[in-house]
Order: sequence, then structure tokens, then C-alpha cells
Amino acid sequence: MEDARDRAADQAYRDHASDVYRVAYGILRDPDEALDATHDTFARAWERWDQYDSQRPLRGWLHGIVVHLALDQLRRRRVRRLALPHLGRSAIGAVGTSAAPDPADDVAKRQLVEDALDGLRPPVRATLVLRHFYGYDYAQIGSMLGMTSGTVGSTLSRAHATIRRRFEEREPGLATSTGHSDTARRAPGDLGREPAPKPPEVRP
Amino acid sequence: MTHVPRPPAASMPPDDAAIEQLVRDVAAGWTMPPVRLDAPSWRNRVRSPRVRRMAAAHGWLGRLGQAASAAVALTVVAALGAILLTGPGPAPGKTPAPTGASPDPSRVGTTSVLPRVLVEGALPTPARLLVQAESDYVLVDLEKGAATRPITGARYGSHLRQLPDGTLVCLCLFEAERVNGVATRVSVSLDHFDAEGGRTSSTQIETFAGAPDPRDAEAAGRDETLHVETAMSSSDDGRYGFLGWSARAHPVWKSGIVVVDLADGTVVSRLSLPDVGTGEGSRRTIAFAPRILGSSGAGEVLVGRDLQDWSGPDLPTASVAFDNDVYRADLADGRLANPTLVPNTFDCGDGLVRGGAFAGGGIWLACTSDSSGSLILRRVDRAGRLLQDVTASRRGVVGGDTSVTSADGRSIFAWDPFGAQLARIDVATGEKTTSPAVATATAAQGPLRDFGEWLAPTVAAKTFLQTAVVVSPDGSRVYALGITGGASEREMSGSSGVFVFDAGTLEPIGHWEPTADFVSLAISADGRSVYAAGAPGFDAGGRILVTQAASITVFAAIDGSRQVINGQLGPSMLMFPEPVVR
Repeated sequence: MEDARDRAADQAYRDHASDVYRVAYGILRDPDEALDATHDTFARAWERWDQYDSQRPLRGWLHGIVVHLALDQLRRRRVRRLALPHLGRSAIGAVGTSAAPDPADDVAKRQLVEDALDGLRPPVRATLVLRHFYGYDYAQIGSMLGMTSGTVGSTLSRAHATIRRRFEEREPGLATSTGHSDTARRAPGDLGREPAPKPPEVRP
Repeated sequence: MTHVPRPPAASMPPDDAAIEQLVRDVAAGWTMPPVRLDAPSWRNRVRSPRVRRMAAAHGWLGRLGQAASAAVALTVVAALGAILLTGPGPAPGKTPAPTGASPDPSRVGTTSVLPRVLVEGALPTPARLLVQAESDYVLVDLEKGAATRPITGARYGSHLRQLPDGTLVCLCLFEAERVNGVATRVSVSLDHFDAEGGRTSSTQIETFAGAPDPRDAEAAGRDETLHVETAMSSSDDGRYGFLGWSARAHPVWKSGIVVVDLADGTVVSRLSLPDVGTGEGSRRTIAFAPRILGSSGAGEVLVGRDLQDWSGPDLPTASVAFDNDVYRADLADGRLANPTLVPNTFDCGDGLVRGGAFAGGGIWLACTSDSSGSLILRRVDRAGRLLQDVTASRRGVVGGDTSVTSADGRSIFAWDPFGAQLARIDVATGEKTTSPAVATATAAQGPLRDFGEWLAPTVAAKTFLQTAVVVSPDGSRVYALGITGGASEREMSGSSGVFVFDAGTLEPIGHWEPTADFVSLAISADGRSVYAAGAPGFDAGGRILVTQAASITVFAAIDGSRQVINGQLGPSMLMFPEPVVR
């Protein structure tokens, strides 16, 4: 029984370690810590192997574990290296598959995205990777991250806006707004109603 | 030749498809580095059976070393248990004297895993309780120190509760259809389980269907928003289930609440809320499933619905905004009817938490605001005039619920887990009273703190606490979970234990050391025991301890002494689904 579990876990490691590492790195932004989280993930998987539903994709199950582990790990840190994106930690990867007229532009764009990712909150980065790289649907991502499908959608929308804004900042001519879209309030009447008058606020 | 990256050439900002491709390109480069053969791998981290087998493989020296290690570990555990359970505590029947002092950092955290079971004296009531285990639920037997397997197998968002006879009833959510990976049809069933968690019946209740927005049909690669959503809860007496739903039928969202008799699955009533537009032009609006926020008087409840509104992703200035609408509705014998919009309840923070009424017929709403890191209490008088917004701030970003209604319903307590400070807001007058701040174990005040907060403002610790604060059933005390805030890599953020306040004066009257990294709190219906769930994988100080499973510690409410420790409850994060365990 245990041997079968060992074999299955070994196979899982061989098949999916890189996918687990990628999500861990997306959240933690540190190669050493991502590797640590990857090993922790497979240790956890081994321990709870009897809970795995073989009717479901193994990779998704492992991603659910690594997301929890990595976010828990981050939770315990107050100062993070991800706030220091230029210390050589960010891995600029292999040449992308998208066609670009100038490779330098391509590299620069990816660097912009890396920088933008550094500025996003870890669950937001996790959402981007799980959605765009692995193609999970909103419900799956929501169950991994403990949020509703709607929140996943709005998180992606805001993340895109943040990345887009990073491009605009690098290209001032394109900047059409200086507001922070993440926290921008809805324009009055957008939902077809009269807005509430701003109430008096009691400050401590 | 060195290739120096330069800014992209002038062009339009990337559209969504381009951003998705860029994210894919970037993530493709996050490849796993080579693993040193002599570095510890996942195999070295699994628990005892595997470790023993590996030790055996390494010969008798390995076995001897393993046995010695186990003996040392057991000795430490036993010693820890002895310290925990026999250490001097306040005299029985007396509340610990207010100290306001920090817990001794040397006692915060353990280097050994918690034991499977430690019981001091009589077991608390209940000794068998329903606990949420990530997206499912388990039953924990405190006497045995064991948890069942996950019970429902349903989707995240299902609602399970325990009935007085020990059986369980579930509004279980399942996905029936998807379009482009996003659910367009969900079904809800009423499932009953015996006291051991075995399913005894399943009755189909309702199916909800929402359609994708036709305006986005040709947007290749565009992220789909949700099309249908549910929110489920049940009445305090366990008779009725409230099944909130919202589904897109462009150009509107349809929403409502179905009231279900939890005994047999009969639909007792259906409430429909006014439609919400799906957004004009390039804007998109989402109406989330409505929920019962609380009672607003005899035979009347408040129904709230959160709304999100964002500009289309094809706009370079995409923005997201939050809104909500709140209705009064009649509720008698499960019949929910006559929704009436309450004026001036729009635009209250990022999300509605709960609501209620105060003398004179006015209503209050508690809303969270992640952007400002605060809880907002909004008050509206009987005539619908906006009275006031009162804000209770907290340090750091905390996911989950950090507020609770007082036992008499006249106040809201808002808790700051990092600052260990409790605020009470009178819902009738808006008057706010704040407790003295209680120092926490490693909340360093040195220069590193300011430096750290300046350095990483956008990545401030995100901490999840589900039910961070509870009120004793007699209303006299408030119990709250604190979090230490380390200012450097070496100062991990862990639990600072349970803080006890006098609900009347807000004076801190006790502080109980953490046995684990507490993430969820509850109190027994008799008020005698306080239950704290500890996160798996860490010790109380937040230090990584992969062999530490999820745990539950039960404190005697009277003096904070430990009644029970269950230290080996599996790898899933445990949380109490309700603030009162029954």
C-alpha cells in the first residue's frame, strides 16, 4: 500500500514538479523558497494521497496544495524580497512564443510584466498564472484561493489594468489617466441609480 | 554582443489577449532549478512511516538515530504537555488580572509538534464538532483527536450545518454546465448526513442558469466573468435554508432568494429582487447573489446584494468599483416577501458583512473596505436618511471576518488583530469606543518596522482569519485572535494568542498564549469553552514546522487553562463555520 503510494508520488513529482514550482514561484517570487514550497507540496501530497480523487486531474490537485502552502508561507513574512524586484531574483525566461518585430521589445515587455507582477499581491499573481498559463476556470481558481468566481474575475480585470498602466507609465504619451484604477470608485449613476450622498465620517 | 532591453516602441497599451500572452511568456521562464542530490527533498519531509522506512534503509545506525530522535521528540512533547496542563494559572472562577503585557516571546511557538490528544479534566461540550476543512467539512472528535474524511464532496460555497440531533444537513452546490470553462448552470441539492457524516438522502432543489454576455462572444481569449452565482445560509433555528442566486440574462442580471425547508427540501417561498443591468457600452456589471444580512425587526430581515462594476478590458483605463443594494423584506414561517429598497445604502465599502436594526426603526450595515483596511458602520434612519458612516481602522490587510455583533445587538465589535485593539460602535448612536492597545509578542517598534512598511506597502501581510472575534453568549466578554507582526524575515508573523476583553468597559482582562498558529475562533453555546483552530505546517510563532498538522485547542473560558489539545488533525486548514459551536 505504502509502496504504491510512494510510486505514485514519485511519478507525480517527475510529471508535475515543474508545474508546481511555477505556481510557487509566481506567488513567492523567490527561487529558493519556491523550491522549498515545491518539496513541501509533494510531502503534503504524499501524506494526503488517500484524499486524492483520481477522477480529477492530478495537476490541479497539486496546484491547490501549493497555492495554500505558498500563501501561508507569505502570510508569515512582513518584509519580502518580492518588494525588491531588481536583486536578480526574477527569472526572465526563455524566449517567448509570441511573434515580435524586435526581440528587444519582447524582452522589455516581459520585464515590464515581471515588474508589474512584483507589485501585485501574491493571490493576484497566483490568479494570473493559474488562469493564463494553466487555463483553470474561475470556479477552480476560486476554490484554490478561497474566493468566489466573481472575485476571481474582478481580480483578473484589475491585474490587467495594473499591467496596462505599467505600460502606459513607460510610454507617457499613452497615459490617459493618472488615477489608480484598483481603488477607483464607480462613477455616480453607473448602475442607473442616484448615488448615496457622502455621509459625515467619524474619525478616531 | 550584449542585448540591452529598452522600453517598448510607442504603441497602444496591450489588450487583454496580449497581456495573457505576456503572462504566459513570463511564466514559461519560471523553470525549476536543478535540485542538488544532497539537498532535502520532499521525501525527507513526509511523516513518520516514510521516515522510519528511510531510516531502516540506512541501516541500524539510522534506526538507532531515528529511535533516539523519536525518544527526544516524545520527551519534549511530554514535557510541553506537562507544562501546558500543569503550569500555574489563575485561580478557578477568577478572571485573570488585566495585564496588557506582551506574551513572553520565548513561549510563543513550539519546536515540537503538538500531541495527538491531551485532555485535562472533563471534556468540553461539544466534544464532537463540525469544522470546515478548506472547501469541505469534517467532524472532529476531541476525545480521540481525530477528524473524519471530507463529508460532502460538493463545490466550494456549499453550506453544511449540524442539527440538534447530531445529523447534518447540506445545501450542496454542483456544477452542471460550463461555457469556456466557466459555469453556466449549477444545481443545488438538499443532502442529509447521519451523525457520522454518511450521506442518507439527496434531494434536488433547484437549478440556476446564466448565459455569457453576448457582447463578449467575439472577444477571443477574453476572460469570462461569472455567469451564475449562489450564496447559501440557514436560519438560526435550522428550519430554513436561504439559497441566494444571481444569473445573467443579458441585458440584465436576475437575482433572488429561494427559501427551503431543511427537513424535506420543500421550497417554501421565492423572493425576486429587481433586475440589475449588465452594464452599458464597454462597462460590465456583475450582480452577486443576495444574502440575508440580519434581522431588521419583528418579522423583517435585511437582504443585501453586492455589485461590481468594471470598465471593459478593451479600455486602457479599466477600473473596478463596488456597490451594493439593500432591501427590507418580510419573513414569517419561511415566507420571504415584499422587498423594499432601503435608500442610502449604496456604495458602502467593498462588501456587505451584516446588518441589523436599532431603536426607532433605523438600520445599520457593516461593510468592509479592503482599500482602506477598515470596517465601516453605516446608519440610516427609519425615513431612509443617511445618518453617519463610522470607520474602525485596522493595521494590515486581513481576509475574513474581524467583526461581530454584541449579544444584545446594540453594538458592533471591530477587532484589529495586528494592533490587538478592540473597537465598539453603538449602532444606535454611532458612538465609538476603543480599547487600550495591547502589545503583542513580536510587534517590534524598532526602525525595521517603519522601514519594512515603507519598503513593502503593496505587499503587506495578507492574513486570513475566519471568525477572528467572538462574544460570549451572556454578552460579558469578547474573545479575539491576535497576530504578531514581525518586521523582518526573522520575525515571522504568527499567532499572538487569544485576547479577552470586558465587553462593557473594553478593558483587556486576559491573554492566553497560543499553542499553534491560530486562524479561527469559536465559543461553546454554554460559554464555558473557547475553541481555537491552528494552521497546519507552522508552529505558534509562525515558524515552518511541516510535521505540525492542523490542530484545535480548547480553553476554559473562565481562566484560559487548556482543556483539550488535538494536535494531529490532518493537513487541511480547519476553520469554524459558525462563531458558536453546538
